[in-house]
Amino acid sequence: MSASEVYARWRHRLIPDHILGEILSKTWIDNAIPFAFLIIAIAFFAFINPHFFLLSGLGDMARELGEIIFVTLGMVIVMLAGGIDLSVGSTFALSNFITLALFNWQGWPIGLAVLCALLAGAAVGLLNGILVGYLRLRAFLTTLVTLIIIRAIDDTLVIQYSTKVVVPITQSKVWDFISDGDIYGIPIPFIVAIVIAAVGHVLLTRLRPGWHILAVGGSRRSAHNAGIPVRRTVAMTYVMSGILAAAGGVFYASRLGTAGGDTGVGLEVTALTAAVLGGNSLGGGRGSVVKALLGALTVTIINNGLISLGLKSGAGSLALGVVLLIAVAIDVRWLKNRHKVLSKVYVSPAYFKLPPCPSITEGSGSSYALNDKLHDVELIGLGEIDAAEDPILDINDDLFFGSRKGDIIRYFGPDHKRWEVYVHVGGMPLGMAFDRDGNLLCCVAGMGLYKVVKDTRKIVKLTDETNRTWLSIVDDSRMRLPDDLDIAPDGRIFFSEATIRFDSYEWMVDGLEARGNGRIICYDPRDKSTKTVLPKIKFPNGICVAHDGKSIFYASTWGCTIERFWLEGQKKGTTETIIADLPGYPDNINRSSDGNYWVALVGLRTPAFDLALRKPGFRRRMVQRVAQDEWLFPQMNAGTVIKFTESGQVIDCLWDKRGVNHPMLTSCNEHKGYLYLGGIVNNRVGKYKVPGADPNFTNQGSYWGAKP
Amino acid sequence: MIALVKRAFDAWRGSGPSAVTVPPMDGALRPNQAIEEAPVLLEIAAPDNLVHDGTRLLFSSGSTVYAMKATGTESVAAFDRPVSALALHPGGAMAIGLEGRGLELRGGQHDGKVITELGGRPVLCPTALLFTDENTLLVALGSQQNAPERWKHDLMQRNASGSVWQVDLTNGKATCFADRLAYPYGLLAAGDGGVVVSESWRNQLIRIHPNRKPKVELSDISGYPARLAPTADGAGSWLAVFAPRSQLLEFVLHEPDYCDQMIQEIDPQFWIAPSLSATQSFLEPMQLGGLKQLGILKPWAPTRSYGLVVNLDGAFEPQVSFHSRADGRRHGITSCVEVSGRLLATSKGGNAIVSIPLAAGV
Amino acid sequence: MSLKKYVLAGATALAMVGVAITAAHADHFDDGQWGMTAKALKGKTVAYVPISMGFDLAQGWAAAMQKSADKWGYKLVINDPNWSASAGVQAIGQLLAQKPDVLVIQPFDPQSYAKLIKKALDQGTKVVQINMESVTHGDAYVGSDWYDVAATEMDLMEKACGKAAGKNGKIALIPGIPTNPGQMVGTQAINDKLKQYPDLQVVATQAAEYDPTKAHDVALTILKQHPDLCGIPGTWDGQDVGTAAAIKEAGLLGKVYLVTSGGGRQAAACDYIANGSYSAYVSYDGKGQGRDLVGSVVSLLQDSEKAGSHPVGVYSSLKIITKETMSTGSCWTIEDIKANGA
Repeated sequence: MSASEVYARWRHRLIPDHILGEILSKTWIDNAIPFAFLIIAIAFFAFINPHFFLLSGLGDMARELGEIIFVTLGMVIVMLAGGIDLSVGSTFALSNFITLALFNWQGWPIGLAVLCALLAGAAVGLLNGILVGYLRLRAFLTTLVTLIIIRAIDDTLVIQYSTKVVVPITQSKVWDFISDGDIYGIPIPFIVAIVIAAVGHVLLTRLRPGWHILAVGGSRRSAHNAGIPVRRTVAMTYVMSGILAAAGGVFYASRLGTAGGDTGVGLEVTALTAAVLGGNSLGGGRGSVVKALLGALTVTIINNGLISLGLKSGAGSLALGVVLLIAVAIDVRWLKNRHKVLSKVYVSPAYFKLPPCPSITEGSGSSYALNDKLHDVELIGLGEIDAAEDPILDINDDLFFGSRKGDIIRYFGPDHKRWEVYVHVGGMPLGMAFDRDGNLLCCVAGMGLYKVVKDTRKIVKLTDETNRTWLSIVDDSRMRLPDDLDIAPDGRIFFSEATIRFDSYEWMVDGLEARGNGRIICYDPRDKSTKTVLPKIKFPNGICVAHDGKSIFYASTWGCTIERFWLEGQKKGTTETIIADLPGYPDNINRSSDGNYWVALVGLRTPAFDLALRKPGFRRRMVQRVAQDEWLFPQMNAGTVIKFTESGQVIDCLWDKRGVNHPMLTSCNEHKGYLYLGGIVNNRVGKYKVPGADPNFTNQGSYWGAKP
Repeated sequence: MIALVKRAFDAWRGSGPSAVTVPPMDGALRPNQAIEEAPVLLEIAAPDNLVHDGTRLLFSSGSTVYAMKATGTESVAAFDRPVSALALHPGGAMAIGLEGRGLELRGGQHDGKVITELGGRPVLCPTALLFTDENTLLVALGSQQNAPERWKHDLMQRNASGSVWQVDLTNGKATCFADRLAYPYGLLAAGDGGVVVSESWRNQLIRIHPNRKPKVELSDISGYPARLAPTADGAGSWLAVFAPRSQLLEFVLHEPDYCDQMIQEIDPQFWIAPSLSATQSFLEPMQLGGLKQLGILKPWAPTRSYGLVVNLDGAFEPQVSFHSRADGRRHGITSCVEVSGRLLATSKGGNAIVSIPLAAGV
Repeated sequence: MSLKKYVLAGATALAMVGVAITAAHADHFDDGQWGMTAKALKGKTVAYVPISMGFDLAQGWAAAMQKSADKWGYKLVINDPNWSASAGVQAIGQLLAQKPDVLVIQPFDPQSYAKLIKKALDQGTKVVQINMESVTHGDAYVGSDWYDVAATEMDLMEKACGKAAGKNGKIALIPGIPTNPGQMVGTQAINDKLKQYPDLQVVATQAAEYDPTKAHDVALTILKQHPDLCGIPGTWDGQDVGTAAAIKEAGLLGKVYLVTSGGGRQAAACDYIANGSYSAYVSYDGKGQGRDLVGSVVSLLQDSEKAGSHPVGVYSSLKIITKETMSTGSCWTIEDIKANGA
């Protein structure tokens, strides 16, 4: 082994590159950039001014932060529905004035004063909502106009009455508590803001109005077609924004107790910056409360940090403007490029060295020597079939297999000319087996393990969830690609999940990684539990319970091996490799009538691909630079069927030399002297007469002693 | 320094000279099945280098030179090693390039003359010959490292050791026209005393002249060009393209580590390399798009072999093209000649000579 | 400690400035008092939050304090809220967390800083309010007597527009921000004076929020409605630049008697008097305020008494600048304060 190969081996063993792609594919990664902004802001100001994060200073900041959170939440809700609300600053100021005027000057009870302020906010919101939602005016211009109008009203009031409203004529304990009080050092406005944010989070993620808002923002037309009242939803977001901005104003009133012309000036820019910086999309439909909080916190820190730097007048607004610009740029770029980056880094090949490939040359004397035994197979359903991954037969000679359309097809025996859709499952059915009672069990890609009850054809979900692996970034509790199953004598169902990293339509891409991405799962019908039995296997595929029921054989497709896992006896719980160097990629395994096992090789190893497996960097760069159609792959246009003994000795080999009928074989099932051949990308099922086979052998007979 | 950094960056990112883009087949190169569907004139193992001097029509196959006549095909000359190039002069002379050996002349004034060295270099890899007059022979040597049968090695080793020579047959004096070419594979006389050479590994046609700088006439061909032949009216030319380019192959050529190990460990038949013939063995590499869906290989599937002949005008702009696509068999077209309204082409990989009827005006 | 002592200590400190430039502290002449002062001031921190650092007075005060801080080795920290009361609250909150020895603030209004001043005093930070006063008293108020400023303006108005001058007595009021502490007191003074001079008649009142653009628009409108307007008792030079421009634009320069008030910076006061934009200027002498401020701060730094125990007031003396009374010493420049102190 060359030095570079040793390096490649250790490098890819020690550094788990695949994690990067998995992290990028998470939805929470959208919060990563806002979070990074926050960390940068904190680090920057803590570095410049060590006093900045002193506890006593934080209290004051949290008080102001509460107000900013209210306004930002309102802005985000409007943005989620695809709009924008520039009038928040004016509404904020108006609410501040109303609160002070009614409480300080008129001497109303504080509760009533606050209520009036919130109602005023709602009224402004309603005005916006009617104009934008119902009359379909442009959100930007409309709210800009309301910004100016409300600001003018507020200014007039302030000039006329501000001297009167700033001097309180009454006292209120509640009001004092709101303005000065804290709970464990946390100011009241901040606590209230967090509570409202939590409510907002539940609203947006769990409740119907929230979903409506997101749907409208995502696509107005689709939302309309789905029957969502688009106009009302849009109008409601403005009302909410108005109320939230007013709530911010109330807390401002409690904090400063003054009404000036500067109240809430520029707050719309602050809130907008916070919203966008938090990662809420300007285009609508994408955002969350958490993002709003992140953004509000970042902006408050930046704002206060800039004040504490003692910068010259105006520099603060300039810096905030620059931050907004950067945030918008990143928002746009990120949205545009995230999937590109993801597609580039998701496939992450590992180092893998296969043992030397046994010869398949005709006449070489090898167990795998090429022949043309499959030349004269009888073809069933030519052209009518699509994706018969694992054809099986019941005791009445009816042939069952899945189709790409999500059906299970039945061809009536014994001639297999007529057919019907047995059931429609929805997902693509892969491996199948009949249980003791003649029910059809089936692995369905992307869905899980299902049962079709024998006579009623009722579809029952057995399991679609297993235990989640600790520290796994991909959520592996859900099943992505259940592949083949078999049933142990005690009724436990062992089934393989080929890969947890790719969906069924990209199963081949998993081969480029050559990493143990798959696992074997056991479903126990007795207590309905599901448990991962063997993790990290290179594409576990076919599964077959041994004739004596004491062990299971399974195929590791990309590993080119057949493994045996012991269920009972001395070796219980251990795995042994019984064929380590197949010349191709094993798929489904089934019992043969003479006490041995059939396995279909879905493709063949090629020297060029075997070499590439030892060069992970080569494969990674290939995935990044070469178009997918051009990627180097194992030879999948040629397949074979081999028969092996329990000890792993290969005793027969069936080839379709020209690769015409069965360029790819994924399954072979023996039934009454014939072998039925299936291929996942083929349009036929082959029927091959096995010389000397027991003409009465059926799988149900072999497993359950069933007789027709 | 900046160039160095840029090159390293390009190599890391796969941009600039490290990009694996391949020119698409469109415009005049729009695919059809003309070669695949054309009548087969003759089935014979690995036909190569078809030549025509107005009366005689000869081609090589293995170590034999055959003449094609109305009555059938007959052997003209046989050698003890493969014939890799042929040229005819109307005066009766025939020049034969022999793999790993040299050149021999049969007939004409210089009958029996053998050339094994040109300018002190052994004639290892004669790929194309051309008489400019009875006493002057132009010779293309594909490589100084590999004989013609090892052309895949020469490509995958990324060599550029080919040369073009002018030999005065009267005195044996050899003049080097151009050196360090990346596998010159075809010669076409240019009117001005120069010659147009197809430079395979660089996918281009260049015009070379003893007194002038080489000039690229056609670059970025979608495949590896082989021999050139003039059209019947002499205004344009025919270019045989023996294999297609592909992104994967370009990529492998930029991966010296993989490439060198592949040359060391794997039988050339199973390399990721262009091929003359369509897939013959299950051990050959497969590309994702080459997967047979519902029993059918799509004609647009990525492929390592292809059949292509391009008609070029006087300015070497492609005009018309004939194809045999991924799902066909008539691949590896190494030479062609236009004879009485038909285009004859040797499919070296498809073991056949096809005869494509030409529409008027082509 | 009495006010007299404060002023004395301040003056002493200032007198030392020139000496300090040439001599290092170590071998400085020490009569006992000097040493005590130097020891008390060294290493202290003074925090300063004006309304904004964007106008002349705030800069002048800062320059005066910086000059003193450089001499005595105490630290001056400036936070700029840039005309936002909310930002000012944050700025002060942050500074208080650093526990400065003296906090110098210029409140926006009587309310917004009230709680913070109390908090500062509670934590032992002494508070000096400059030119504006919150409802909560600190340790010192240094600044104008806003009642006097407005009253003086009204006296000038009476002289120019009253019956005695043979004018119609029509005046217009353009106040700044009504809630501004100075404005509130000033409005009261104007009302009192209007009672005293019944011949003066207010024909229009509209606030301009210390914004020259707004003042310009307001003044222009008033002048259109009342072309026979006699005079405008202005509010502040920073705002009344706009008023003056409007008068000029209306072609009434010299016809409308404009009195304004301010810190008396050369370019904001004397230059405008010289070109006739302002008829008269009531200066509360920013440079003098700077001197008073430094005196107060330095005294408080040396004072070991509890913060807020003896609030004192240091009121600026007023100067009336007209074309006739103006001399070279009437106004000041920031460069001068920076170079020579207040």
